[in-house]
Amino acid sequence: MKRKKLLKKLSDLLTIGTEADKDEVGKLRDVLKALKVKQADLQEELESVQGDHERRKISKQIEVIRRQREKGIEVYKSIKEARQQ
Amino acid sequence: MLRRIILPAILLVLVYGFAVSKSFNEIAAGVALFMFGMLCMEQGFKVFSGGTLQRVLAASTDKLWKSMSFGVVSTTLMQSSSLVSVITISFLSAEMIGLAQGIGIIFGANLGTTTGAWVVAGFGLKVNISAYAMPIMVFGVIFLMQNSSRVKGIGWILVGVGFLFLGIHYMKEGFSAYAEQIDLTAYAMTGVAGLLVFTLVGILATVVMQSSHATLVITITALATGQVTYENALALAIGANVGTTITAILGAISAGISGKRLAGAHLMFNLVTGVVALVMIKPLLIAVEQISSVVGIASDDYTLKLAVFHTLFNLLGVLLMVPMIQPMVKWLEKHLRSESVERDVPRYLSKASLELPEVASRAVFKETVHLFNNAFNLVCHGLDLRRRDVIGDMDLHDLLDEPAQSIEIDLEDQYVRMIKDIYSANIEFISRAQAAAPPEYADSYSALRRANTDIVASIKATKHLRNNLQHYARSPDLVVRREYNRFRIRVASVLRSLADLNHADDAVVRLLSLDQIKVEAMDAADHATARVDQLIRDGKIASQMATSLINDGMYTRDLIEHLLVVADAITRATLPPGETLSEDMALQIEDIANIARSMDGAALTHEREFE
Repeated sequence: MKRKKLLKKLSDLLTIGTEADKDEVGKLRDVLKALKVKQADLQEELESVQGDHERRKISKQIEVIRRQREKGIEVYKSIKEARQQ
Repeated sequence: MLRRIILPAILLVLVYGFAVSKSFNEIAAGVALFMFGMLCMEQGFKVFSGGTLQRVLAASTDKLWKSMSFGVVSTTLMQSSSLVSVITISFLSAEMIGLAQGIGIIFGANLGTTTGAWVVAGFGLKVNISAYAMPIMVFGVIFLMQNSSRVKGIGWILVGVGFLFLGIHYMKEGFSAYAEQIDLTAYAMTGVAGLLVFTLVGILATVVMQSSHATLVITITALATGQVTYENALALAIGANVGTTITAILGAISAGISGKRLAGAHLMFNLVTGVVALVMIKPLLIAVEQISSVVGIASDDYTLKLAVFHTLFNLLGVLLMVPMIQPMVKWLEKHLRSESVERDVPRYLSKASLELPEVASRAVFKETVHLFNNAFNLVCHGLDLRRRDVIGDMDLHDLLDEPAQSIEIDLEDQYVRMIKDIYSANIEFISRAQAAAPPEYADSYSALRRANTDIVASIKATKHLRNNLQHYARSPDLVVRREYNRFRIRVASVLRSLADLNHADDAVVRLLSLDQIKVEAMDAADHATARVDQLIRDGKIASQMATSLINDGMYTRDLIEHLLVVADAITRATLPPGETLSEDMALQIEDIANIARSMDGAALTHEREFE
């Protein structure tokens, strides 16, 4: 009986961890999606905008988002790896 | 002054009462235990008021019937309409609900408070209530000794219920003993004079005890032992209903204008209900008799009849006043206005919200945004910029060549009028709220404190920058004028980007968007430095002007940094506790510097490599 209780507690704890991961992955996906949309919008704006100053500004904004997405994908990978282990 | 006299007088009366009467001892102890029970229950319910509170509120107050039901249920559970009205004032002050919803809750609370009379008259006096009190308190204390704050909350509620029961028991015992010694009914009064005098006694007793519930319980127990006549008990109940508004009025003193309006509505409702009950006492009593005979209440069971009367006149009040809610809202908004703003004052902070972590954190967040909004105007005007130009579509580069249009502003004076009181109140509120809040609120309060201090720092930087800007942004020398106008454009550009940030929904995305503004700001700062060097080398500016430009460039950089910290901290305060995604994905300062410095002209090809 005691062992059963312990196993149940352990499984509860593990479920809590997985739930937290699921939340984080879901949130991460949402943020990555939002950033992708922003990047696409900026890319479109860049195609149409005239003037060096504006183009340079938009290019930098795109670069910021690109790097942030890269970091986000790294986080995503590390969560997946941790889950597999 | 009055308080200095009243308190010692009450203490003296109590001491005298204790000395001469054992029954008085028991009644007073009963009242004290009863009120202590209510305090314990308050303590318990506060534990459950965090976290999902706002969602529950939003879902349960969007329609009038819902906000009234919320008032009925919460008052029935907490057994204190005063507590519900004070909490409602804090919700309203923090703009979590509107005035009409707040009035709905108050109406519901008045109905909810009638359940107390039923519990005491129907249950408390019929059974040996103290037999339940002891085990409930034992369970309560065991729960209190646990670590979980929720279990502790349940413990406080159980201990509270235990003390309430014990208090009712002592009052009952005290009045029974009194009945054997003296006949208080000798002081009974009949007719209109009796109604008015006992209504006044009911009001005074409720004001002193700050609880209509306590007055009602004393009235019911005294009625059960025949120490008050039925007629006088009815008047006491009406008085208790009017007197209970005093807690809401006291709660509203420290609240904003919306809290004052709600207290006004509460007073209007209870006064009208009280007057209607007094005027219609005869038809109401006939209705009570009929209802009692229908539901099977014995003709001599005056305590239950009192409960019927209490419910009936509150219900009548609600029916009469519900159609009046919208006119009442209009009237209150017209007649209770914020004082004309000589000095802007906090709008969302109230002492009542201090003990509710979710409400307190929401209130200080809104107050910080309010402060930032004021600072936004001050920074704009300090740099001779109009707010509408900064947040509008105007091409900011149009400002480059033209002499700046002067905006008359005394920053020192405006700081005192628009910033100082709110800033001081915020810092004090954060210190108090942080001490009372659970640990998961620590990050949010730290962020808000940082936002407040950086708002003030941004105004100080504006003041430094304004000194030279006033002269040089209107200088006949185009080179100098352009450089100072560039400072204005840099700040305006950051302010515009920050204003645009509000349109993004998600806090993490908003925080990440700050990286783009940081890159742009750093890029502009680097260009400014390079330009000053170039101007010196080309001999276009004197060395004295060069040092002025370098110093003012530093003030500009400081100002922008403070503004960015404010935006970062305000956004961070809205993140859910334990959220780390924004930290994981945000760029480091080196990355920001790299992007700002390495992409001149090459950005396009660089970007395409990654597609």
